[in-house]
Amino acid sequence: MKDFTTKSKEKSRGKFFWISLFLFFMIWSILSRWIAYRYHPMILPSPFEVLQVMFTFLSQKIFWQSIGITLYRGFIGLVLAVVLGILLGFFMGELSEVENFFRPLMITLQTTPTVSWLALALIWFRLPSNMTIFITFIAIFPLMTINVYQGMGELDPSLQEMATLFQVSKKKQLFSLYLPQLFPFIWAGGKAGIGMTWKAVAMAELLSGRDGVGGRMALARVNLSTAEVFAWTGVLMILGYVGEQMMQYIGKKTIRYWGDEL
Amino acid sequence: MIELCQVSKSFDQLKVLDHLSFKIPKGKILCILGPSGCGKTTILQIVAGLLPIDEGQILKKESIQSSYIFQEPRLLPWKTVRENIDFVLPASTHYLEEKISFYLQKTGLQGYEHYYPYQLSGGMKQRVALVRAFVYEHQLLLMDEPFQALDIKTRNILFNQTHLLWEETKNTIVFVTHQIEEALLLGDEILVLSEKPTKVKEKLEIHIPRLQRKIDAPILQDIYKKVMYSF
Ligand SMILES: Nc1ncnc2c1ncn2[C@@H]1O[C@H](COP(=O)(O)OP(=O)(O)OP(=O)(O)O)[C@@H](O)[C@H]1O
Ligand SMILES: [Mg+2]
Repeated sequence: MKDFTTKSKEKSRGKFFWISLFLFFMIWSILSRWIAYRYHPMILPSPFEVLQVMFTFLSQKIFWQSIGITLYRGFIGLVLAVVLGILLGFFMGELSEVENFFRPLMITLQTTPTVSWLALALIWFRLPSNMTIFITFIAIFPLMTINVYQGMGELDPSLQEMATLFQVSKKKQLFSLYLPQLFPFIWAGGKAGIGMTWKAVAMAELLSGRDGVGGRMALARVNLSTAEVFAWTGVLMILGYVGEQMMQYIGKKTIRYWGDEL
Repeated sequence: MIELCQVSKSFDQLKVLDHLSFKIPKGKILCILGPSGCGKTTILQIVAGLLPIDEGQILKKESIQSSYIFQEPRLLPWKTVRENIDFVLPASTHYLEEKISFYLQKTGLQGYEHYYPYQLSGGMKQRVALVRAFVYEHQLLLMDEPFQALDIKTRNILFNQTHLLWEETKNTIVFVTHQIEEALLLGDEILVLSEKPTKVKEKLEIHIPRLQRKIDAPILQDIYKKVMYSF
């Protein structure tokens, strides 16, 4: 019964999804025709042009190279931010000295606009790779840290008491007590982080260099190739979507592994 | 084994324990009876060293390893029955296998080893907590109303198991309950506590061997009346 209702709900949701997508492309192509007629064809390419460019991309070596570079940078930045964020968040929750030391710093970091980091990073780093990784890291790290720190505040004290009484080793507590309780917070941070990664990476690349997806976008802009800018945007959106789906999958698997109560 | 001397404990403005003194005799079963909210759980937590006291002293001779059946099951929701038991045990549990399966069987939990807590009933969760506490190596066993969620049959089985565990190990047990019958059948000593701020209202000793106790025996009936009266 329950299955049936969720399924039929999903079906109707699917229908509206396709209708909305269709309308979106319709309006887009009408708009692009009208703008091309009225002003200039370069301003808004039609969806077919964009799709065409995307298809020609597929056979180009430089396309795959750019994606590879961007993925690599995003991945390194993300992993660094996640790992260090978990560690710092954990110790902020565990030791009040660490908490008092880092709290103001984390609040400052979180409120600093990314543009400021971009401007600074352009001065600080010579290599576009380093700068991009730095920007990705700095965009995600405070978020991750604060998430885990919050999770530390919501640990169940009665379970902690139980573990203390039975003299369970710290190592065992870390993996069997802390991690499962922190997982939803880490996961939420990671999910938001992955969404931010591609935006941050592309932005940094756009400003810093010629390679990577952002670099190619900068080049397309210089060449006034609007269709290519759109095509790269589509690529970034696909990356974002795949990332989110991956996190969703990991979340589901882990929640099943740890039972249902998360 | 442990002696509480003039122990006081308050939570904010609420004075729960007021210069409370009593001894936990080694190798005996001490039952604590008292009205709800009088501080029985608080006392157990203090004895276990989980809660600091405001005033007074706690005298212990050796370092005592205690096991605890909390008033709630306190199982890890992301671990199965068996994993929950293993959580409190040393890494290698070879030598404990027999003991674990013995208690799982006695508590009617065999076949449920791979269930998660959310798949168990309230009483079953409490039984898992019971097995966990029994299997854990200890000199002092603290039991906080351990049988309250169980039906009479399971209750009797586990009651007898507690008894047998004691016969086997002669460990010290502190047993909190508000069932007078349970205290009469199990306790070597019974402490009856007053309302807050809590003091020892009555201390009774029962010298009849546990196996020969019948709840309708005249002597126990006398004690029963005494306890009822002081409640
Ligand atoms: N952490 C706490 N913070 C504030 N007050 C508390 C805390 N723990 C217990 N109390 C208070 O102390 C008193 C005694 O609580 P306790 O849990 O020891 O009672 P109890 O005798 O075990 O009751 P029951 O038989 O219902 O389990 C209660 O009035 C309770 O409100
Ligand atoms: Mg209680």
